[in-house]
Amino acid sequence: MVHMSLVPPDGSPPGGTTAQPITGPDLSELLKASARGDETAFAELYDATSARVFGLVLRVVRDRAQAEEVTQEAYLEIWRTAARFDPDRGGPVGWIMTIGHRKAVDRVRSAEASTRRDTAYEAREQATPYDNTSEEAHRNLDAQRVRKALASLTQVQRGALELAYFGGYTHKEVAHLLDLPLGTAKTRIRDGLIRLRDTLGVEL
Amino acid sequence: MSTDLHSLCGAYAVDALDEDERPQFEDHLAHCPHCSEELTGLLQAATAISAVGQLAPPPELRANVLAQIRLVRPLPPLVQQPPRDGGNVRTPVPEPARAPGPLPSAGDGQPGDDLSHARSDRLEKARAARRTTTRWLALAAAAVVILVAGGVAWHPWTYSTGQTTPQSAVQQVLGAKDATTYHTKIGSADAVVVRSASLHKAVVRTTDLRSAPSGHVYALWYFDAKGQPVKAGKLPNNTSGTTTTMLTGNAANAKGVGITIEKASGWTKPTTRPILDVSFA
Repeated sequence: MVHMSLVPPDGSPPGGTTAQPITGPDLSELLKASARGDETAFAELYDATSARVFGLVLRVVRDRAQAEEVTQEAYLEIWRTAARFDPDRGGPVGWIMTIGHRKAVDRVRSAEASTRRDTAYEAREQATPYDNTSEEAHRNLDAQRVRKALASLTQVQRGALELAYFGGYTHKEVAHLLDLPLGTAKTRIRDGLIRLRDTLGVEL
Repeated sequence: MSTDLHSLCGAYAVDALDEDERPQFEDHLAHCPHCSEELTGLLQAATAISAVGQLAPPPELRANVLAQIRLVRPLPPLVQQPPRDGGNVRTPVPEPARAPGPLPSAGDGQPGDDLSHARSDRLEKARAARRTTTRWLALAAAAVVILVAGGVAWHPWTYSTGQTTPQSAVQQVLGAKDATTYHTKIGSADAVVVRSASLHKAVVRTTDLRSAPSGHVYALWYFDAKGQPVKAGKLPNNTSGTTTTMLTGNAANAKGVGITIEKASGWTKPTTRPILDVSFA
């Protein structure tokens, strides 16, 4: 973290989308404008949220090329369904992240993904281990709060939640992976989320 | 039963339900104000986790996304529906498609009456009439825009050695100079096949395709020079929204692409009539 520089190391544009706060542009308004076909508003929405979406998608699918595809699919979906966003439910970031996460999970669960990893040009690209992204996370105050909150969970709650959210596993698979009786992983996941919600006092 | 579904709320919030449970829970959600309320908080908690590990995507991705949205018409808003009979009238419960699990199910587009733009209106009518010329021309024009943009920005095969991430396989096909686009339909769902002869690859994009029947898959086929089917992978299990899938195998000598519905395991040959059949004319 000492070696962190203010310039993103990957050549992304200045004022780029790393370490983005959730505040900033009014995302609900940008979604509304996008629903009317406003491409400029959508570009702004993309700039404000893409690091968060891409970071999550990459963590789930692991392969960088696939993460880019999934992120792109997610934004197409966000564009297409922007009129269905309901500001009263979960907020714009939650809505956007839900779409990104589901796309990522669908991708890793689809057998197609493993087949495609074998194709020639994708094989040249190395997977990006998650740890490469942790540096970015430390810049972000929200991330620190969340890390703390995660650390306050019981080991099983945390394990179940991480396997589900970052691993893309179903609660039944999580039960297997953690040697939990079938049907209890979903309870651990729910308990973990409730505790997170209460610890963070969720306002996003 | 209902209590059981109730306990799935947390798993739903982190997409940890399997394909059978997800629709069950969404049905339940539409009628259970308690779950609906709980889900909002759990989703916010789940979303908070994503604050960890942010990473800027490569700049090209932005250009690709902005080019591609021009191909996609935003859905109209859901207009107020009268409550279902037997439903809870006092508590407005969102439709599943509007609930926090936001991916709309296939075919839920409901045309609004008050579209303000004449062009949108025309497209709406065109959609209703399915295959009208206006719609196809508009789509074709949009496709030209993106393919031209691709020709300028993308250089398949010549990866830069710097930090730039190579274009993904799908993007290479979409951006290839010789990419040819074929528009068709699967039922009422839009389907687009893009093939690049020089890259020996083809890509299928579907929009709002109903998921394959339980225990079945959408199998992809190339048709070889003799018209014989060659297995070329399958569509993802969840085909809601827009999905883009590259066919496996070699498109160099293929004369066309087909999709059939097959049992999820053990399929080697088409056993049903193709629901999509595109010839590379």
